[in-house]
Amino acid sequence: MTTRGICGLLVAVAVLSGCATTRFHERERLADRAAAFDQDHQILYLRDKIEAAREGGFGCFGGSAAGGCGCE
Amino acid sequence: MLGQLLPLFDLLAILLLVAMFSRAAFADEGAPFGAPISPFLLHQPNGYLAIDLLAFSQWDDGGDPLVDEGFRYEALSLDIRLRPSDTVTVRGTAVVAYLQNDPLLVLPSTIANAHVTSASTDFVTLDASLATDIVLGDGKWIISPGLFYHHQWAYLATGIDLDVRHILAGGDTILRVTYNGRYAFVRQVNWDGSPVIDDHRITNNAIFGWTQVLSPHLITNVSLQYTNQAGLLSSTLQFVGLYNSAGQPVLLVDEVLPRIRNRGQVNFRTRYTSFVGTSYGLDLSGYADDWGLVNVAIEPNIETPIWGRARFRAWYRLADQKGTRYFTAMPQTVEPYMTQNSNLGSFVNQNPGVALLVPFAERWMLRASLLGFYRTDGIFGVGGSLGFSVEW
Repeated sequence: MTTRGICGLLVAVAVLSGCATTRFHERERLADRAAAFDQDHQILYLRDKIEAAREGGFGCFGGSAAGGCGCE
Repeated sequence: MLGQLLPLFDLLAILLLVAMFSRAAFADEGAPFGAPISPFLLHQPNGYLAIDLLAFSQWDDGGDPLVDEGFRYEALSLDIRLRPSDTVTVRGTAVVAYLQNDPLLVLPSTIANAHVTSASTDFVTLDASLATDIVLGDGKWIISPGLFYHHQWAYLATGIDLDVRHILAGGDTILRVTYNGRYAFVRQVNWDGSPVIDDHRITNNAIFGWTQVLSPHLITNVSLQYTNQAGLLSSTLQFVGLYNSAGQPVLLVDEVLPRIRNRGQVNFRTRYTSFVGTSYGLDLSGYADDWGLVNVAIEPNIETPIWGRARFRAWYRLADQKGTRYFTAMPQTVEPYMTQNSNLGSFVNQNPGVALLVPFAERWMLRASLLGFYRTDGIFGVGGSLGFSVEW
């Protein structure tokens, strides 16, 4: 990333962090699990077994080269 | 077998469309004053217990001709969390599984040092972990020491975990720094039955995350991740087939991979929620490591009420992977590093999935999921889960 890009990112963080775009009573939609980034732990566990462990990541966190054990 | 899967993909697509268009009938612009609290509100209960049955089948219609990667997996999962105070949460998980491999694969007679191969025989596995979340510094620090244990036929991994999370800024802009560390003691039996190997594997993982609430409907997250692993990274259960100039396999030798691996990853995630309980999401990720492996993935997803208080979630993940430089399909000589682990090869991977969550009684939730994957190298599978949770 160039110096200009890094500066742009820092300015964006500074500007956005100073802007309160929502009030407390406006958070109802975002406080619902539908808006959460992660799903239930049990479904994530199965997704790790079926998806992540079939690719070249670390299987799941702490696993070996790929599809390895020692996860969860 | 792919032909048998295509109707499943069609069914998933139809369910997704039905869920999207049925949302209008259940539009809910927020709970009225005095309405009961939604079972889907994000919160931390004082206690949580979940029990699930998991099942997964994998088929091998390609890949390495010397390995049959097909198997069946059935498991019972237990997840319990207790929060004795506002600053301490104890988390425990245990998954007991029974894994049945495809029958032994008879090798060509040209191979001098083996007659049959199989990943291993049928066996029982146990995954277990225990951790404690300790909240410090007015909620800005969470420190989580823990233990984990994984055991299966010819393989044991056990050790300690440490997670440290620090929130730098809150409100509409949440900046978070996370460290995960795992020190694993590993004991493996070699694929040819040679002596047990005791070794270790250390994982250090650092994440910088920036979550931004852009409006009452829109939230995004960008994270940068660096992971370093050191120790035993190859699997002693993996072997590599050597071939002669005529393309015939002649010898099986050990997989050998470097003992250090560094990986960088970028993630972008966003959720647009039009009504309470309905969200449209898009997740992007990309990672590359110093083994030459590159993986990029995109996942659109949706969650919506379908009837009553039940929720339906669907996702479709598409990943494109360029394999490691150490992946070698038909080598003729032994190289310093070499693997035929298909997970480290090149392919496109498709992952459709759906989940259904049905709250019942006061604090109970029924949960079911169905998901699958299809890789262009001929490895594919279908799995699912059925279970319930209760909180208090």
